[in-house]
This record gives sequence, C-alpha cells and structure tokens, in this order.
Amino acid sequence: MRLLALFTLCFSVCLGLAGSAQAAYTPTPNDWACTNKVGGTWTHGRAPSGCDASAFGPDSFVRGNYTGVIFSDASSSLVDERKRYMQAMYPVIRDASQRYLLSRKPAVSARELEAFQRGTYATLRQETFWSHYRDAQLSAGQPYVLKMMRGDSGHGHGMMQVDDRYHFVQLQEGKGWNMMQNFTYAIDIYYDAWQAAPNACLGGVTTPTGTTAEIDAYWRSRARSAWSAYNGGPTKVCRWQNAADVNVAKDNGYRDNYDNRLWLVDVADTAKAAAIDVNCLMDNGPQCPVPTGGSVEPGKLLQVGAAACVLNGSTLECVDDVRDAACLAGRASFDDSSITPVYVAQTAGYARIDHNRHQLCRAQVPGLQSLASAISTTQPLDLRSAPDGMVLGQAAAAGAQQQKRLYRIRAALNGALTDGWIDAGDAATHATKAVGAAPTGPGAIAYAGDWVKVVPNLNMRATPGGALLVAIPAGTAVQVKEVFGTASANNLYYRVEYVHSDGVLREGWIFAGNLYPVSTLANWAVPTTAPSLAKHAHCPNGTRYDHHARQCMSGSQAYGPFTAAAQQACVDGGGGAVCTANRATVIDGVAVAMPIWSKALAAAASGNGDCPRGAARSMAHRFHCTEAVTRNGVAETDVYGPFGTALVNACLARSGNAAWCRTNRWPAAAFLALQP
Amino acid sequence: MTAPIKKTLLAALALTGLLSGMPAQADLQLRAGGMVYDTATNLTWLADAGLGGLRTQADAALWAEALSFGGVDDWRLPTVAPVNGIALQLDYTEDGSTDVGLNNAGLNTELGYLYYVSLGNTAAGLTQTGDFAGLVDPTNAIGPVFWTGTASEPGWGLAFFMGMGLQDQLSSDTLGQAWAVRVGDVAAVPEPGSVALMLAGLAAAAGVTRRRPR
Repeated sequence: MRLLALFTLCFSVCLGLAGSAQAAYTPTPNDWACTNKVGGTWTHGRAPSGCDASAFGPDSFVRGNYTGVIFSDASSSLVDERKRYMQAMYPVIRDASQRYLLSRKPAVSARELEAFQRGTYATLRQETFWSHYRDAQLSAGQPYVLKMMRGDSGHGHGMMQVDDRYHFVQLQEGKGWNMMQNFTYAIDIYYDAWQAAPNACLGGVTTPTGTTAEIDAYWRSRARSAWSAYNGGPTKVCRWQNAADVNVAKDNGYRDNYDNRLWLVDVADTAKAAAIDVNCLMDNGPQCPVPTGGSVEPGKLLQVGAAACVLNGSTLECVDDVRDAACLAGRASFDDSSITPVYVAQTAGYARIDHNRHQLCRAQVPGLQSLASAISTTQPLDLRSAPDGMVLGQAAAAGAQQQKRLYRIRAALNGALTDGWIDAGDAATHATKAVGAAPTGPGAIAYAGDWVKVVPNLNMRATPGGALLVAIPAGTAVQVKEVFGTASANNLYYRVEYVHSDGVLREGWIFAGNLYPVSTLANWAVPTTAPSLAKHAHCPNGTRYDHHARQCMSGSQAYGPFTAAAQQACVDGGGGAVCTANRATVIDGVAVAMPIWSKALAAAASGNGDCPRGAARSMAHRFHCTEAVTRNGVAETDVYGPFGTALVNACLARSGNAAWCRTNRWPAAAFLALQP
Repeated sequence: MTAPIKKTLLAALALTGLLSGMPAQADLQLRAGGMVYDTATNLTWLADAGLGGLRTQADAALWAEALSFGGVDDWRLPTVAPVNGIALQLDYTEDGSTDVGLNNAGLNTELGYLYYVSLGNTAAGLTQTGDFAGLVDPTNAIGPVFWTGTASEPGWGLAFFMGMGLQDQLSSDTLGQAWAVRVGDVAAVPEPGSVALMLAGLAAAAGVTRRRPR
C-alpha cells in the first residue's frame, strides 16, 4: 500500500527562540508553542482559537484553581454552558478589576471604579468574548482537552490577548496561561492609559462635573482612551478621537461594547460571589497553590508544559512535544528512563532553544521520513485516530532508546482519503514497516531551491508571522530558500527573496498554507518554473539537484563531492575503488573531477539525515550543511550546496575560475567571503 | 672551420632531417593532409583533435559522418565495444575490467587504446600526445572530453576524458569534443613540412656525395 505521508516531519531550519529576550520585539512565528489548535465561535467563552494549555503549565493547576471558569464544549447545550460560564466569570472579573484599581488608587471614587470595571468588561468582550480556558475537541471523536485562548494567529495569549512578540518572557512566566496573571499583567497596561487619558486627550479633567449624561460621557471617554492605547500602544491614547484613523472601526467597536454591555445578557446575578480564589491567583501566580514540580538539572529529561527539554550548559534545548524527546539525544545526554515535570516559571532563568523537530529529528533518528515525503508501508499497519502511546510520560520512557516513529499520514481507505496515525516501528523495526518511496504526484510542498508563484497578494515578513516587510503582488514568482513548519497543524512558511517595486532585494518569509486538516497550499503559493536561466544549483547535464539527498542525481548516479564521513562509510561498507576515486563529468561545459557513486551507494553512505553523514547545519554558514575535516594536518571546514548561479559566478570571478566553484562543496572561507 | 668538419656537420644535418620526418611512436604514422594512422588498430585519426569543436553526442556523430577530409568521407566517432564482449558494464573500476573507469586500454575502446597503448600514457595523466593537436586543454587538466559514438544508457553516452585517461558516461546533450576516426590507412605520403626538411637533408647528403670524387 503506497501512502502519502503529509504530516510527519519537514526540512527546515530551526528558529531559535531566545528565552532570555526582554521586552523588545521577539520574532515568534505564528502559533508559537501552539499544539492541537482548535477553532471556536464568536460567543462568550468560545472565541477562536484555542491551543493546548499544557504547553505552558500543568492542567492540574488549572483544574485545581480555576474550577467553574473553564468553558466546556462537552456540554449538551452550548447556550446553557455559555450562561453558566459567564455567570462564573463575571464575579471573577468584577472582583479582580476592583481589587486591582483599589490597589493602585485606594481612594478611588465609586463612580470611577464603576467606569473602570465597565471598561474592563468591554475590553474582555472586545478582545476575546471573555474567553480563556476551554475544554475542546480537536475533531469529533477525539478527547476533550484543556485549551487556552490564542488569537491573532496565535500571537495573542489568553483572554487579554498578551502578544508573544512583545511580552515573550512574561508569557513564559505564566502571564498568558494563568488566567488571573494574564488579567493582572494586561490590566496594568490598560490602567496606565486610563491614567494618561485626562492630560492627553480630555483637557486635563480627572473629576468630571455636569449632568449625569456629561459625567457618563467623560468616563466613557476615559475607557475609550484606555482601550485605544491598550490596542495600539501608549502613543495612541487619543486614537479614538480621530475619525480618519485606520483603526476607527476597532475603536468604534469598543465604544459599542462599552455602550451595549452585551455581557450582561449571559449574567443573571451580578452580585454573585466568585468561585475561585481571585486574590491568591492575582498575587501569587503559579505559586498559588505552591507547585510540586521537579528541579531543572543537567542529565534530566524535563517536561515543560507540552515540551520536552534537556539542559545543555545554561541553555534549555527543547522540542515542542514530549513524544519527540528522542530527537534531543544529540544535543545533550540525559536519563531517558523518566521525565521530570517542571513549571515554565522554573525555566525562565535559562536561555532556551525550541528546535524545529522537522530538522532536529531527521538528524538524530535514522530512517525518519520527512514532511510531505512519500512512504511505502511494507506490511499492513493500523491507521489510528491518535498515536497510541503518545500521552505524556510514556513517550519519554520509550523515547531515545526505541526511537518510535509515529507518522500522521493521509491514506486511501476504501477509496476515501483518510487522515490518521501509524506506528512505523522503532530503531530496530522501522525498515520493515515503512520506507521512503518516490512521490506519485507533484510534491506537496516546495523545497529550498524550488520556485513558487504566490497566489494572492502575499505579505513578506521578517520572520514566520513576524514584522511586515512588503506585500508581494499576486502571481509573482519567487524562489524558496528555506521551509519552516510550525505547530501541529503544520503551518508552513517559505523564506524567499523578492525584489520589490522599489528595486530593493529583500529576504523574508511568506505564509504557504497548512497541510492539516486540509491542505491549503494551493491557496497561497503554487509551483512554477524558474523565470530565468539562473539556477539554484549547478549540476551536470542529465542530472538534477535532489533536495532530499542534497546532491546532483541522474537516474542511476549521485554526483559528489561527498563528505569525508560518507566517504569513510562507503569504504567501510565495501564500496571499493569508487569510494575514493575522482571520476569526471561536465558542468556548465567544463570538465570537473569529482566522485560519482551509484544512487544506492550514495544513499547508504550519506545517510538519511538533514545533512549528509558527518555534516550539520550551520547558522554561521547561512544554514548550509558543513563538515569539519582535517586535510594534511590542517583543520578545515567544507560547506555543501546548493550554490546558485549568482554565487557560482561570484566564486568563479573571485577564485580565478576554480573548478570547485561548480561543485557542491566549497571551502568555508571561500563561501563566507562571498556573503554580503 | 676546416673542410672535413664542414662535411661531417652537413652529414649530421642530413641525418637529422631524415629522422625528423618519421613518426614519434612506432604505431602512429603521420599522414599527409593532417591525419595519423595507427598501425596496430588500422585506424586513421584526424591529427587535429579539436577540428570538430564542442557538440552534443548526436551532433558530433552527424558532423563526423558528414566529414570529407583527406580525400575520404567514411569518418565516424570512435566507439567502445563491451570489454566483456557481451554488454557494457558501467560500474567504475580502475583495472579496465568494466567499461567505465581508468585503464580501459583494450582494442575494444578506440580512444582508450590510443591513449594508453599507442600514445603510451598512463592513468597518472596525459604526457604523450604524439603528432596530435588538441589533446590538451591548457586551462583544465582533466579535459578535453571526447565523445564516443557509443550509447551507455538511454540519453547517455560514453566519453573519454583525455587529461586523465578516464572513460565515463555523460548525458548525451553534454557538449563534448567531436573527433573523427576511420578504418584503414590513407596514402602514405609524408606531410609537407616534414617533406621539406627531409628533402633538405637529402640535398645536403647529395652535395656531400657529389663533391667527394673531386
């Protein structure tokens, strides 16, 4: 049975997320640390979207401290559940907003308190429809799992929508996940604007006088000012007064929420007592109650939310799911017989790298198939709705030793394409379960070097989901330099180069669609041919650059140069004279000496890693694969291609037409000398 | 200078002129009009290996077949017959036991035999070029690469890298050097430059002889 594996692993380069970054902009991708994302409805308690709350802290903490304020999708009546939920939430927000304002302004008037609370309620309605925790299903038949509200492509955390690009450190400390911490942290921002509003845009008035309607209008203006700044930043405190501002619809939306108070539709008793310990949760955050996690130590496999991490020096190296813990084996040694849960707050003092599992795992786990690759099952395998054994705690015990391969695939079952999971074996058995196969159709995703044409006008951003650079007009062909997949829905991003109408060549990321649950790739960027004679790699006639093998390949042969480690593996495997022989071919009309191996020999010797055997990706070399070698007693570094036409031409010019410029391996010094 | 010494010098010059008109290798004989005959293989090669220029394999074959040179028009590209007599073996070896690699020096491969046996080169690289021109690429130690007329796989053909004595396969749309060869000898007439030198030597020898009775 031939299967198209759509959701296994993909080629890409890791995006390091520096946990030590401070309030400055952090280029988190869309849906950072968002697993099993679910949608929702624009009704109280169910706003889209939601991601596993466990990514940031243990569910047990939430269920133990926030009983009653978790919306349950499992309820037989979502209308009844909405009213129940809002009845529980209202006193919480009422008490929390009062407690906050009294702590900041002990002598605040009752009228200002009432206005501040109303402004807070309107903010919650405007931001998330009062949504924070929710028990929800990934799809019908799946278990209900605790989710946390994530809006704005996953950047907004919690009911107050704290943005991970600007509050990255604080979110790791629970300011998104812990609902009352989310509220307290965010209302600080609202309050600052509340206080700034009189001088900024209300004529300096702090205690309004006049008719009741005039006084009401004043407090309404204070609330509108506070929200304009909350939404747009502290300089936008008077934005709502400018009818020509591009955000006027947002500001008017907030005004309508403030005026209409539609939250009251779902609240029967505004005087009811809160059912949770608001004070403790506001004051103590994750220490309420005191957590009972383990400690962060070297040699331990740590469970941090949904992520698995190991301490490597002073840096936590993580993958976003415990099931991928085996992939960390190459980063630091650890005891894989147990996993130690720790709270996110305990890790805040460490630098943190969240590895892209699509890259890291391929490098560490032999035979692992990549995202969008085709596989061929060699025996009947159960297709499951969820990967058995992937629950937290079990995968780690199986992790590094067994290296179980769990693939989410799309398979034809009785003529219908069906998504599901297969257990494709472990280190000992994987080769008998599922192996790589030639795709039966066009590739599902582009790889580095491919050309794609953007379908709509598409924003190019500095990072995946990051700061906007320019918009690429619909129909423009761009070359893919790198592929990045994020989150369990496999949101794909391509790094591309693009010359805008201003003549400036820019490099940035475009969104390329999702693979799951339905592929939307064709809506964003579709394969196209290179628009010029420029090549992304230079190969002999009759061959093409294979982005999986990272070599020029004909139907039967692979063209070197190969890594020293691959060459040694070839020799060790009995490959004979061809392993070390310099044969010859012609590239761009020039005879070039290089090893040429059969494809089978090259595959065995070079391995199935993200880079050829012995090589690893290097950020210092623009994410090319590099290998450290010693030649004639001198330590050198080789950089492996592909090298595009512009680079090859520059190399030829600089080196005096050196033959190696046309090959797939360059000296690192020569490569670096050509970088801008 | 005394008269006896002059006579001896003239005789030496005459002998030098006669020797220079002979081919450098015993099996390769220069023919008039820019051809070289290999007595061991009974093949005649164009002396200027670069005459055909860079072509795809098919274009190179067409060029050779259309060539009329030295009064003959049965030129073709050199060929490779399977070393095992049955079918081409495309695994790389360095002992000539397959059809790809180094030391393919048997009569089955016309370029290989010429390189290794007739010219006397080794797998260490090209050092002997005989009377041929165009066998060396001064900018590339492993080139030039010459097409054979033999297909190896669909879309691929065997070629010979003259700088390193390597027989290997290339995609047939690769631009390689076209070099023509034909079976048999052409009229064994020395080339004009050698003839002139030889005549000078003969004339000098005749002068010495004519004066001797006097």
